[in-house]
Amino acid sequence: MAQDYDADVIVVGSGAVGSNAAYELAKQGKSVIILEAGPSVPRWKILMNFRNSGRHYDRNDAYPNNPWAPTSYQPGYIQNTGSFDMMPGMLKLVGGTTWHWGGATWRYIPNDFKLKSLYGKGRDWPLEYDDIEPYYTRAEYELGIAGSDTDDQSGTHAGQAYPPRSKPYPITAEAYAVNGQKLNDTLVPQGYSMCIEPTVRIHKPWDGRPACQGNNNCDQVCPIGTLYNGSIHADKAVRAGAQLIPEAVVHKIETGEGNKIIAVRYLTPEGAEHRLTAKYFVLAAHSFETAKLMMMNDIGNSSDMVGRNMMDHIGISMGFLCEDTQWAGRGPVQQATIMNWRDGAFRSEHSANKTSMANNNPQIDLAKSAIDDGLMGAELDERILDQSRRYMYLYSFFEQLPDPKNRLEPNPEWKDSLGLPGMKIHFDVDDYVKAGAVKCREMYRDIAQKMNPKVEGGEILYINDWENHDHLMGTMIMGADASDSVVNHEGRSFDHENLFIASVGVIPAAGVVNPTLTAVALAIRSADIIAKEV
Amino acid sequence: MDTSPPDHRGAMDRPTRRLFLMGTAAMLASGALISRPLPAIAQTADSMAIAELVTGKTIDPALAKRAVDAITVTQPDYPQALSRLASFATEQGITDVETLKTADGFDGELKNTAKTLISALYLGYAGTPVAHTSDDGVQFVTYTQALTYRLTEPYTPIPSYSRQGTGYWAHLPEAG
Repeated sequence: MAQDYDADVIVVGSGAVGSNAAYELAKQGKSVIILEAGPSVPRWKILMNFRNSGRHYDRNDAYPNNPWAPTSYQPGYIQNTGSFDMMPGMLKLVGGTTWHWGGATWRYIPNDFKLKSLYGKGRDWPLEYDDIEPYYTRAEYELGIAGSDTDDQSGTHAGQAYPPRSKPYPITAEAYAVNGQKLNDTLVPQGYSMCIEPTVRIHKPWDGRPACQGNNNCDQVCPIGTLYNGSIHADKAVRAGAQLIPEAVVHKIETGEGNKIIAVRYLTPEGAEHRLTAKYFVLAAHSFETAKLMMMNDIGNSSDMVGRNMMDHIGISMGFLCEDTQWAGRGPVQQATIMNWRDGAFRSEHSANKTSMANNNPQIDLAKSAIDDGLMGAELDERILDQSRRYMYLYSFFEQLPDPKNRLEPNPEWKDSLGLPGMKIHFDVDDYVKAGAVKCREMYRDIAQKMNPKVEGGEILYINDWENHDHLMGTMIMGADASDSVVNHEGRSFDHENLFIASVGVIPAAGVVNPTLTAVALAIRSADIIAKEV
Repeated sequence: MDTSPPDHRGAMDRPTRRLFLMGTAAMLASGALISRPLPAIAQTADSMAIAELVTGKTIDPALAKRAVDAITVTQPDYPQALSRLASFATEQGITDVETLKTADGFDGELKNTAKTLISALYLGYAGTPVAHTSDDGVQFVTYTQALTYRLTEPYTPIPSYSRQGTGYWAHLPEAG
């Protein structure tokens, strides 16, 4: 008698990556269950939470932080032991952490897949750009991305559209904000390579989402649903027949014959346990949570690489004043991008970087600085207005190399309300990144001078070192060799043939671009493979 | 661009009577064996008076009260510190922030007390933010009424609703 299953495929996690996998499978006629640790929350509630909180600097603050599904900022939940405080802004609700993000949806370039072969550093991917290109295209159309079909995004192919694409972007690039245009017009004639960031913040309606109104709130919550987040594909998956179970905290994974995964167990907020079976399983519960879950259950970890090789685009940033009026904070939160250091022979010596202008409203921070300096009355208002008028902020990502010593582990010394462990993380910024940051600071000083040529050295307000950017790669690292990798090029576990990982955590070479689009493309690719086998 | 600060104040001596009352309360409190919060009704009016003094702007009394209440959550002895500031202003006959900030003796605790209130009114929160934790005790005061946003609103939308339409960002604001 054929075995009965609760579903063809169970997807753990309803973020952008998991929901896209679930939707592709449901669309191809498979029965799918999505399990999400957090609740489903309507946008208006999140927006009201945001506007009624004084803690706008905490981008998790407007979102649920439940005792059974804590965010990353719950005190004690993530404990760091390394020299860098790895504290990403992780959310737990239907749609996942893309509820707050800048919306950047870059492709890697072909050389990013061959870092070891070309530059002798880190790892190669077990696949090449051409293998993933069709899935990049599918992901771009699913997410609805606005981008330029003529820009060189590599910094090394001046005058060409690069990387190669099989289809144009679904939506044209948005217009530069005044400050981005000024940066472009100043730097490009002086040898800088710039392009506009491809984004899910769309300036034309797409797939039921309205055109961006420039509300400048992407990093907290988009008030009108322009900015893509994972809940869009969670909803689509449900419409295609998937069952979505929120507030279901998966804590156990069972194996059976042939070391296949046979079931997962989840807990409700009250602690009731439920067991679900399926033919295939996709873990897409955030790269930290997925690694923790796998280690809690000793799943997929014959290589001892689960939770290791942690990479983020650890960054630096600079705030400075331009000569001309810019009024940062009008419209898109990020857009203009400098790619001079994205690729080249220097990658054998030091990290690449991607440097972008962020356009978040700076006024609270500028006012705080002025008040801290003791300004009052007319002087205070004059300082705020002058700096707000001329302020510009640049931030940079670096390519951390995979190092097994940078890792997370379950932390049984901290438990949530269900008795499940927190996380312990050890992370150090590597010398490759530190050397790359030296070059980046030189570039910062050059840009500050060029944007304010009449003041010797420009007007740099600050340069910050080592910032989180929440691009948490490597924790379920992809590779060609089962002895040093967790999944193969399909996203399939080397240890369990019916287990797939859909996450930025599979990315084995970080490059310098935001990895969400790549993870969604890989998830769609995995879903196609699963659909053929189920 | 005109960068002179807006002055929405009416009569410049408006805070005087309230500051006097608040200063009197402080002097009375200073003679008491134990400190205690000022009466709530007096606090509302006095909060507005001193908020107007330290900012040089007209302040909604409800906003001023929220600011002082929020600060008091983070600093329980703040009402007494505020009374000492009011008393100082009364004794010196100071009725505007430009005089206050250069007055002899306006330093140390008095200046910090003023900065704390200015901060709450300009930034919309009271307390000290701590990165990467959900629990730093910061208190909500206001969002759209934050004086920083009121100051820059002709140029930059308050994040969450711009109401200026798609593509407005490609041009400088008409205000300058």
